[in-house]
Amino acid sequence: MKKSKRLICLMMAAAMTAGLLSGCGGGGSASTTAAPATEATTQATEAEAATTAGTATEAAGQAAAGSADYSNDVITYGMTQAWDTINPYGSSSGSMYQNLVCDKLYDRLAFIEEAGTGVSPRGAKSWESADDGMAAVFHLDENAKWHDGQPVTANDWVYTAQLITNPKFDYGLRSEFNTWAGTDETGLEESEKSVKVEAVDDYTLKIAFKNVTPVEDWLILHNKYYYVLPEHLLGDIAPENIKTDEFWKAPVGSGPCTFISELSGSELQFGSFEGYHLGTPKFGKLVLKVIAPTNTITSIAAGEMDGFFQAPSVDDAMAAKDMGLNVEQSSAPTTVAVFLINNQNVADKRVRQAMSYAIDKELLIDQSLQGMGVPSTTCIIPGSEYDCGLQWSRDVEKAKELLAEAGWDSSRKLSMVVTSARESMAAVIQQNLAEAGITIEVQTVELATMFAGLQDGTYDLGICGSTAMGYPLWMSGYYDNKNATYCQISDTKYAEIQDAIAAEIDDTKRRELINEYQELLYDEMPLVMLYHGYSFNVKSDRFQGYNGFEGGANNQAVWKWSVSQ
Amino acid sequence: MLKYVFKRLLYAVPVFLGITFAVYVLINLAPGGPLSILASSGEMSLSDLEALKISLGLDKPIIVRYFMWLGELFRGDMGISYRTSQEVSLMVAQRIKPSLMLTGVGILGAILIGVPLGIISAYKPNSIWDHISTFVAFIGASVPNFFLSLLLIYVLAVKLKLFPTSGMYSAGSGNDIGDLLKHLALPAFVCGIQPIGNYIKQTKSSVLEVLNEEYIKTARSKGLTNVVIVLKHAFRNALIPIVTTISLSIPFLIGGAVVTEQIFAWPGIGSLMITAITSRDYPVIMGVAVLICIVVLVANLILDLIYAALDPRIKFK
Repeated sequence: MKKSKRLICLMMAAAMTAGLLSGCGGGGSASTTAAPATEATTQATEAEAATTAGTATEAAGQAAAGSADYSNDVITYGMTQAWDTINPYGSSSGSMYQNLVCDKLYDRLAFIEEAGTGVSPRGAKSWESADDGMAAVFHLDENAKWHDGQPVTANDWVYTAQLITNPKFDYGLRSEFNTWAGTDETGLEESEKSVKVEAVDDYTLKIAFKNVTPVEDWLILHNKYYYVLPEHLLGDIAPENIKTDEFWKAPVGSGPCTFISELSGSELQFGSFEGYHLGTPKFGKLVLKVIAPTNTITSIAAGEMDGFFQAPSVDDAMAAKDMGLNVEQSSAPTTVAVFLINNQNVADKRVRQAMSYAIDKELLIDQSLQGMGVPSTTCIIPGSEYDCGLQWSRDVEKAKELLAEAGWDSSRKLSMVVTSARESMAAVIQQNLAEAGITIEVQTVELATMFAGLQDGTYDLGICGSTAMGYPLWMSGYYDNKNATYCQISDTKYAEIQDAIAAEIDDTKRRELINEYQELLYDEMPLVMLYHGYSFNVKSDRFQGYNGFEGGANNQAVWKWSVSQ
Repeated sequence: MLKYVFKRLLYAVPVFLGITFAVYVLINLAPGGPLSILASSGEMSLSDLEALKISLGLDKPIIVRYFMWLGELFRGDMGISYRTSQEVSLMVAQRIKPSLMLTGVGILGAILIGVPLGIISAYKPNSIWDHISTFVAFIGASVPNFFLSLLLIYVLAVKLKLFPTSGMYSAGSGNDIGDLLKHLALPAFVCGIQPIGNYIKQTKSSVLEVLNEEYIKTARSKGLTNVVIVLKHAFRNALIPIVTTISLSIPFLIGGAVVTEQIFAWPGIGSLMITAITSRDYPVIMGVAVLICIVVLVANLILDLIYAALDPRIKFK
């Protein structure tokens, strides 16, 4: 017995020693400790100054003027889902995680501001409409360079356009470019190199459209998929072989970051591109790590991570606040929750309207967002520039009337599908609809099953979420009969008015069309917009120049990021 | 023995084909497919979707696709990931080392702690060691991995800052061994705690059973020391069920600890498999299944050879 006790004491002593040693060896995390408040404030002011700097040239000038050495600064950024590939045309998912990774390696024509509130220069320093709105002319930044030092010219942009419309090049999101003249409905070139994307001179790019297209509208919707590729490195490779070429093992782009290494689906390491025309990023290394959503806040609290995407839930943000972490709230709603309705199975618009009246949107906001949201009427953000003032209020009696008018068969059961994250919302909606006389059965499945079931019409109803943008056609894909929508929409009237808005250059007429669009959506109710929600951003104290909300626009101004010492 | 090994390998071929066929058919029959995930952004047009279906070969019947996949596999090509457009063999190869490291350390630790504790508690029932063993076995069997992971992260990483919360290396650490060990400690502990319980229980019951055998009494009557009796006679004869229990951990060794890898953002096979399943990335799912299948078949063969080495009464037939 005495021996046993001695042994236990010995083991405990060993464990304590190991613990102490381990604690002493924490040098690795020393660089991630928070900076003194004053220093952080100074850095923040500098970052703000950089943010407000007007043109690309000015930003580049500021970077050149800076003499500080940032080579030892490492920014660690978490992503709650993995990107697909570092080939910007290698994925068909259109995932934001994919776009945010490629955004750092490759340049695009413009930078879309938080919630689509503006478009600023990036690969192009300015642009204008041409040929009576049938074309756009982009004046490219002459300072833009590839990571190997070669200049980025209009020929690179033309090469990329010809590549992605080439049928021999396998690309799943080609229809994003079917607005370009010289392409068919699927975005394929009509004949060899027929796409009307031309180099006027080395630094002027002209894109011709099939219809009148306001340039900024096109940028907001499609810029996110148009990454420039280096013709001097890829031009000699056959289009059908590009996807599998060795180039993607260490790609050369013209974005703010250079490629260092990738562990697919787990970790990416980027360097800072010293020649970036909007300014050299103020860090030596940017590490992107895939991290479990349960571990995001704790990683920041432990000083191991500087920020992460996607935005935390309201509950997590509140918990982070309680832990004394740096939490910011978006100035406008940036997310939207959507109640999806199969328009083939629920063909009568009065039934869909009844659902909108019956659902208690306020309760959903309280339950899911702790009140941090506003009930929606359409896809337009309530109170935003284009909001035409439609008002919604819950009215169960009206819902009952509409159902009676539509001759709703109260014995009919509708099937609703949700993922486990939205089970509690589904329970509220189930109860709300039952009050009006609509019976639904809720099935909880995982994401792939939900999307497949909604697309093939297995389910009648569903709930999904999306990012919200100020641009009125941001969610056009949800209503477009040519898209793989979740609502089985075959009616062309939504797409027609969307096309009309997209082609209207006159601001007054355009606003009238947008108002009509909202009234049409509210009247037909092809799907019910539940609420627009505010989002939150949690970051480390030392992380400067970071806007946690611009990631929702598929880009991040990483050249403004830095860490205080 | 060579003849036996050859025969076993021959038997493994239809088993391998059967397993891969079953997995291929089942994942293809599961609701939802790669196209619905790829189109989940809501921005893919129907024409894009159709083109993608043809380009991925998803327009062909499942049986045809299986044999196409099998043909490629026999030519040494595991295919291209639907999601990342990368070679599956490369993706799997990148993840084997971290998985082996994590589960290997966890299981090795569990063996080094669990087996001796099991022997001691069998040898000294109702002693403090027996109580400690029972307690550890109980904790190992009853505490869910995710809960233990989160608890350890909160206490040891966030509050006490003794260990990192996740990942394999610290950013900018230069991937040094000390940093790796610090990152490995918590997930390996979580991986090891559950098998410890199994090993303790299995070792204790096997050794107890052997200790009651007549030849042990004979050994005692001959005046052999307790250490010799337990280690040389009892433990060796109790080894077969213990080895069997340990061998059952081998698929886990390769397949990775799915939950632990996810929570600790450990870049192993388990997290690769989860991502592949949720995105219905059939080639990657099949790549991981092939790897696990081969390892299990080979491990079973090795286990049978070990049985024969441990017990001379077992003959190769």
